[in-house]
Amino acid sequence: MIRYATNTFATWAILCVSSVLAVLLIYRMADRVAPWTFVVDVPQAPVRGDLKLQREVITPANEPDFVHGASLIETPAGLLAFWYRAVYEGANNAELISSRFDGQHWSPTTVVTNSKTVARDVGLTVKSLANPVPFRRSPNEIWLFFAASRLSGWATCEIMMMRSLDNGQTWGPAQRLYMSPVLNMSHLTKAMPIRLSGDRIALPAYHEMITKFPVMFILDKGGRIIDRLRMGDGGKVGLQPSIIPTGPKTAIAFVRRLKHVSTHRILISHTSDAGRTWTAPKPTSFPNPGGPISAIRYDDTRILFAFNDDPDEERNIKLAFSNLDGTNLRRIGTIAQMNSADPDDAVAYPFLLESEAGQFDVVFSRPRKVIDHVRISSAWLEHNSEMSAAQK
Amino acid sequence: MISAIDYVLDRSSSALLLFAAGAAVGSIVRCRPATRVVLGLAAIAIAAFVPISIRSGFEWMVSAIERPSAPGLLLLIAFAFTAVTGRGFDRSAEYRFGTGALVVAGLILYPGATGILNYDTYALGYSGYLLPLALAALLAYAIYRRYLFIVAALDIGIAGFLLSAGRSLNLWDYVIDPIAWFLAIGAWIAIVILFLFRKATARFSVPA
Repeated sequence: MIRYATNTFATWAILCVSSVLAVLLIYRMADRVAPWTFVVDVPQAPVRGDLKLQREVITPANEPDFVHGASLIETPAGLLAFWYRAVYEGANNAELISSRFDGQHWSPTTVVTNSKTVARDVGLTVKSLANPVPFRRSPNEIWLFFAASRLSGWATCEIMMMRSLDNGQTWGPAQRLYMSPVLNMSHLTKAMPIRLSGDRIALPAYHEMITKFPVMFILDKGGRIIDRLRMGDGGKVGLQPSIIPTGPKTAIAFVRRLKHVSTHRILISHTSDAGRTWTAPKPTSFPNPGGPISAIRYDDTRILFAFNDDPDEERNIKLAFSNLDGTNLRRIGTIAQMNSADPDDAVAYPFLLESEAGQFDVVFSRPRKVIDHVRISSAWLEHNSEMSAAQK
Repeated sequence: MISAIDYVLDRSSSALLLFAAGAAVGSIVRCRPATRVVLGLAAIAIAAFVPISIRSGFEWMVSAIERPSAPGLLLLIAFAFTAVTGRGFDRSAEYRFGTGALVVAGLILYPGATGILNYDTYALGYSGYLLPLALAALLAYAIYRRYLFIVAALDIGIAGFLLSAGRSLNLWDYVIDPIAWFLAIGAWIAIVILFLFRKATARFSVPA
């Protein structure tokens, strides 16, 4: 009798607990991710500045290690650059490095973090680090996204994040972003995140293992992934999307082509529903050697982007304008050129930022001991744009 | 810094897999259960001392597979139990149903989530009715059949998701993981082989 009563009670208890959990689950999942729109920042680009390009080398002259994947953010104390450093690409004990620009000189380099510190932060061993990308969260707060490989090769990467509450002077511990059901592999960053309504942000990233395709992650205000949106189809598509919102629900993404494909051109994808769906990336008329494209909104009608203007090699870095739907691309001018006397030279991985109204900065790497910086004025851009149009 | 619970959970898959592998070796050479436990613990100790690259084999494995989902943890415990006691679960309807459900769930999730198929099934775990309704149906059937281990695993997974107790905010990560999927596939291969073996044995056995 007692056993029967116990069994009945246990059955009802299981039924009740499970029913409550199931109802709560369905309630919680219904419209859990509220719709968002892009926050569209249309900068004013007054024609100002010098017609000469300002150039500096950021890395020390005797840099012994591999350096790559540079990026930039503006702070009250000047421009802040990040890149990664290791004995060779993907090597153990990589470091994320930063340096600050006072308008004339780059400061000595500072180690933001390294593989061992990240491993201690997250409780898992981490082999290498790559592609730091800063994002301004608030006037004093910067989030730094980066890729961390847990085993070997970039395909085993996941994206992590660190926060600075004092504009990059000090950094909190690394935290992992959960974005894949397959052991949380294999996503990497490259391009700048963008703001969404509701204090959320969109992080452009790409999947690397076996299939290669661009993805947009939605992060809540705490920096946790709340949605994942594939940009076009799966399969072998492209890498490193650079997303530019053109309206509250429209955006364009410049996508790096894969090395093995026959179309050696920049790819473009569009969304008209705030990133819920994206068109399959389509080739443009501009070449792409398999290097990233860095794009920003320039003014009401134009997007400015930095790219390698060559179908096969990273011989140069040029700037170009695009209209807002990517149907009209126009070269402006060359800002960096490889050393033609050195067959191993290249100018790779440009990262473009508008650091002040009418002032633009590009950082890039040369294989692979040097990070370079070029400052460009809107006067240079407009002048060269007119020259280019006239020549055409 | 991570919490102690996170630290232990992150290492549970690797520890249980190594333990089960070590104990299974003991069962192959027909050791006693106590010896199998020692062999299982020895497997963990060996992995902790054998280096791979800059870290121990155990830490390398932890970095590779990290923590299990709730059903995955239950399945790993079942495998470790089988390896120690030699008692198989292939005749248990609950075991067959649970591992079968994991196989099907993995087939739905992984090809889409990794871009092999165009539709990203992983996104279903962020919002929407489809995945929670499917889980509710699975839970209802498990209760109806009194599959209490499956009910417990699903309830723990769902509760963990509702409390945002894990690192992920995706429901899939609380109810399946790749190690559980591979183990479930292995379990079903074993179930089919044992079924065919028993059928063949019964056919050729001579009545006394």
